[in-house]
Amino acid sequence: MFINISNLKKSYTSGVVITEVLKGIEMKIDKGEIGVILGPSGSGKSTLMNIIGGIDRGDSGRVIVDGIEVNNLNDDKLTDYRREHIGVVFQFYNLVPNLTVGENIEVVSNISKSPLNTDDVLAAVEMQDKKHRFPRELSGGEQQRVSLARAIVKNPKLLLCDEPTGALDYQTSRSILRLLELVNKKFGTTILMITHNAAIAAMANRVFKLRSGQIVEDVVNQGIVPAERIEW
Amino acid sequence: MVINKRVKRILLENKAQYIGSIVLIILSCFVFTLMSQFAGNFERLASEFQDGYVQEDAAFRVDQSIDNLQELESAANAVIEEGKTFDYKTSEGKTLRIFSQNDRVNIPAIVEGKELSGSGGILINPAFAAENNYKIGDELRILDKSFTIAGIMALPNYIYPLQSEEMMMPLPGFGIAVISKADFASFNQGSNFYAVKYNDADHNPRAQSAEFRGLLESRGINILQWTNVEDNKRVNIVDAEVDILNLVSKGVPTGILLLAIILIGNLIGRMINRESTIIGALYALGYRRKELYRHYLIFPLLIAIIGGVIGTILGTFPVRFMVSFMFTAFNMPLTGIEYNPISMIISLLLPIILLGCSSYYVIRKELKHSPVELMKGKKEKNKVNFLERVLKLEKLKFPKRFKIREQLRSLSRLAFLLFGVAVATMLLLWGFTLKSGFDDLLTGGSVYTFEYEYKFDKLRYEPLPAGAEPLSASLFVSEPEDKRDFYVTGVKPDAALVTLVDESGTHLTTNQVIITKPLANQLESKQGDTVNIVRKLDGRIFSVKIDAIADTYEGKFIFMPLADFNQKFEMPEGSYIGAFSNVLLNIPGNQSYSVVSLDEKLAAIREVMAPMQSMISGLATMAFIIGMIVIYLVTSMIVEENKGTISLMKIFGYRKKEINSLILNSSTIVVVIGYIIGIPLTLSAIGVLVQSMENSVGLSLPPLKINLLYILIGFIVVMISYELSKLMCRKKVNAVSMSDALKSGME
Repeated sequence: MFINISNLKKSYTSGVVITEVLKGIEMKIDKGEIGVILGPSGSGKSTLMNIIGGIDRGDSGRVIVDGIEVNNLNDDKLTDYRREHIGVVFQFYNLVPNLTVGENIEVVSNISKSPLNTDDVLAAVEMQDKKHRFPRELSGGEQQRVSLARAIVKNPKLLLCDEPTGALDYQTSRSILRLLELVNKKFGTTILMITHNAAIAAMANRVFKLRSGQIVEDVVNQGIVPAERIEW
Repeated sequence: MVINKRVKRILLENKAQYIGSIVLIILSCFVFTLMSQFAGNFERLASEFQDGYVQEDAAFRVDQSIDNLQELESAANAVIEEGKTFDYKTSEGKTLRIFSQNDRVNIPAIVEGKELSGSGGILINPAFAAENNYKIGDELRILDKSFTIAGIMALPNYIYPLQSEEMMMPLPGFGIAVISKADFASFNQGSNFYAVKYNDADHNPRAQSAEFRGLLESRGINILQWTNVEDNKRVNIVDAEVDILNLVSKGVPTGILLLAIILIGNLIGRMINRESTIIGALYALGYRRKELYRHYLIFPLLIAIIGGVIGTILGTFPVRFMVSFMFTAFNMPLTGIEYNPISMIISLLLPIILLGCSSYYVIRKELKHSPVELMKGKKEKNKVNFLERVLKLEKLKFPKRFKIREQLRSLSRLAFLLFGVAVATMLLLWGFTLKSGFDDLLTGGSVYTFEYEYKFDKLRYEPLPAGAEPLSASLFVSEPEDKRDFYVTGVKPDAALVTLVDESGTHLTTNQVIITKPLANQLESKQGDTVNIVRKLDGRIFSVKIDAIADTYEGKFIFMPLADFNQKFEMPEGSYIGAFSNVLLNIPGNQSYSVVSLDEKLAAIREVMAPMQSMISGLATMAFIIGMIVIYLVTSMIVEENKGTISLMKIFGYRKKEINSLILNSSTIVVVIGYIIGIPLTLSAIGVLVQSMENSVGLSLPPLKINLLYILIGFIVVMISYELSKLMCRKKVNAVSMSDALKSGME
C-alpha cells in the first residue's frame, strides 16, 4: 500500500471553540494509482491533503506514505520528506512572479537529488518555447502547466493536486487533466487530487467522498475514463 | 473620518518600519539643529569677541620704535597700539608667550577671574591654565619675578593659539599670558609690535593696509613683518571652522533626510499597492480622492512631526557642551548660548514639507487609477521591470540568479538600500579618512630631519655650530588678493636637514630652486616655468624660475639657496632669520627667538587626535545605526514581499538555511556595492571640505586616501550591521507559514 491512513484525526482550536476537521480517516491508495478526493467546502479535503503532504500534522492516527510514518517525523525529517517525495500543484498556480518559467522550475530542481531535465519537463507540458517568459506573460492554463512541470521536475513519488482545474476554463482544464494522466503513466507517479468537480473522478482509480471530516464513500473505480473523454 | 482609526493600527502592525523612519528623521533633525545652532553660536561669539575687544585689522613689526603714535593715528585714521612680547620657558616643554597689556586694540577678554590691577598680576589663556592645573590666585614665576594669576583670558588676535603661523595646530605646552605694561617694562626685554584698527569700518581693511603701509614707508619706517588679520591663521581658522560646520550641518542631515524620504515613499507606495483592493472598494462606496489623500498623508506627516520635534529638541541640548568643548581649542569668552528660532523652524518644517511633497507624489501616482483597476490591483504588483527583462542571467547558477532577480524586483527598494549603505559608509569613512590624514602627518614626515626650528626676531650673521643650518624666509602670495600664502625659504645649498625628492624618488639638492607639489599645483607651474610672486610684506613682485618640483605635501614652499635668497630679495649678504638644528643652540640672552621642536609638533597632532577618536566613534555609531535601520527595513520588505515564495519554498522542502541564504543573503551584493560606492563619495565630500579649508586658511593636504586597514574596518562594521539585521529578520522568515501559499495564489 503506497498510502495507508488509519484513524486520522485533526482538530483546530480557536479561543474556546474546538473544530474537529478530520474524524478518524481511513484511506488506502496503491502505488501508481490516481486518487480523487471529492467533497464540499469545509469537509476537510485540504487538511487531509496537507497532512499527507507533510505540510500539516494530524493529532492522532497513522499516516504512512511509501513506508514513511509521516505523523512521527520531526520538523527536519518532514522537510526532507517534502523535499524528496512530494510534488504539489496548486489551484492558483503559485508561481514566483519575478522568476521566468525556467527559473520557476529550477526553484524545485535546485534542491532535488536527481531532478529531471528542465527542458524535458517543459517539453512534456508543451511549454518549452516559453521558458524565458515571466508568469505574468502567460495565460492561466499555461501557468498551471508550468506549475505542473515544477511539481514533476523532482520526479516525486506522490503528486498532490489541490483543485488543479479550479481556476481554469473547460478546455484548459481538460488539457491539464490529460497532462496529469500522462505524468501518471509516463513516470508512474501516484497522484492524489482534490476537486469539487465530480466528473474528474471518472479518471481516478480510487475515489474518496469526504463529508464533515469523514470518508463517506470509498470507491474503487472499475471503469476508468481517459481524461480526454471526460466532460462536464 | 472613521478610516483614520486604521492609522494607529497600521503603525503598530509595522512598528519596525515606522520606528526606523522616525529614527532617520530624528537623526537628520538632530544633526541639523546641533550643527547649525553650534555653527551660529560659534560665529556669533567669535564676532562679538572680535568686535567687543577690538580685534586688530593688521599687525606689524618695524626695525625701530615709532615716535608720535598719536599723530600717525590721525594721519592713518586708525587706532594704533604698541605691544611687547617675549617667549618664556616656564619648564621643560612649556613655553608662555608673554604680552604687555593692551587697552585699545586686542584687549584681553576675561573668561574667569578679574582684570589686572596694579603690578604683580598675570592673565593666562584657558588651555594653558587647564593643562598645568593653574587656578586663579596661584603663583607663577617669570624670570626673577613672581606673579599671581588674576584671571583666565582670551586675546582676539590669538583665538587659535598657534605658537607660529606655519603650524596647523597649537602645541600642548604653549600658552599666552598678559601682564601690565609696567611689569613688562621691568623685564627690559622682548620685541615690539604694533596692532592697528582702522576707524573706517566700511572701507576694505586690506586696501587701508596698503595705504597705511605706504604712509609708513613715506615716513622712512622700515617694516619687518606685516600680517593682515585675514591672513592671520590664529584668527582666520575661525572662518574655516564655521565653513566646515555649515557644510556638515547641511550635508549630513540632507543625506539622512533623503534616505528617510526614499524610505517613507517606498513604505507608503507599498502600503497603497497592498491596499489597492480596499481603496478601490472605498472609491466604489463613494469616498472622494481628497479624503483618501488626506488619510494616506497622515502617515508621512505624523512621522515627520514626531521625528522633527524629537530631533530638533534633542539637537538643542548638546549645543552648549559642543561650544564649551570647542572653546577648549579656541580661546574666546563663552558669554551665552542663543538658539536661532529660524533654523529650529527649518528643522521642524523641512521634513514635513519634503516628506509631505514626496509622499503626495507617490500617493497621487497610486490613486490615479480607476476603482476597477485598483480593485484588480495585482497587475502593478507583478509587473516585470525593464532591468529584470533585459538582464540575461542564464549562465549563472540558480541561487545567484534568484538573488539578483530578488534585488531587481523593486528598483526603489534597491535604490534605498544602495543609497542607505552609501550614506552609512560615508559617515563611517569620513572619520576614518580624517584619521588616515593625521596618521600620515604623524608617520609620513620625511622632509625635515631636524629636531628644532629656531626663529629669531632680528637678522643674524653669526656662524652656527655643527648640526645647525641657517635659513631665511618670507611670506608670498601669487596675487595680491590671494589668501593662500606660502613661504619662500633660503636654505643652505646641499642642506642636510631638509630632504627633498622628486617624483621618481631622486634626491634633490637645495642648490637650486625647488617648489613643493601643493604649491606647484596652486601656481599651476611646471619644472622650468618662471612664476611671478608677490611679497606680502610690501607687495613687490618677483620672478622665480622653478628648477625642480619636490614630491611632498608637507607645506607650500619654494626652497632656494640662502645666498640667492638674500640677493634676490635684497636682504643683507650672509644674514639669516632662523635655523634648522639637531642641537639646542646657545643664543645670547639679549637676542629674542622662539624655538619649536619636532616632537612638540607631533605631540600637538596626537593631542588633536584624542578628541577626534570620540568623534570617529560617534560617527561610526551613527553609521552603524543608519546601516542597521536601512538594511533591516529592506530585508523586512523583502521578507514581507516574499511571504508567498518563502511559504512555497517551505512546501517544496527547502531547509531553513537554504531559505535564509536565498532570501536574506540576496542583499549581500548590494550592500557590498553600496559600500564601494560610498568610498569615492566620501573622498569627494571630504575633498569639498578640504578645498574650503584650503581656500579659507591655505591649508595644504596630500591627496586624500583612506588607509586600507580602515576600509577593511569600515567594511566589517557595515557587514556586522548587515548580519545583525539578517539575524533579526530570520525570525520573520521562520514565522512565515506554509499555509500562506496554500491560501493565496501568487499569479
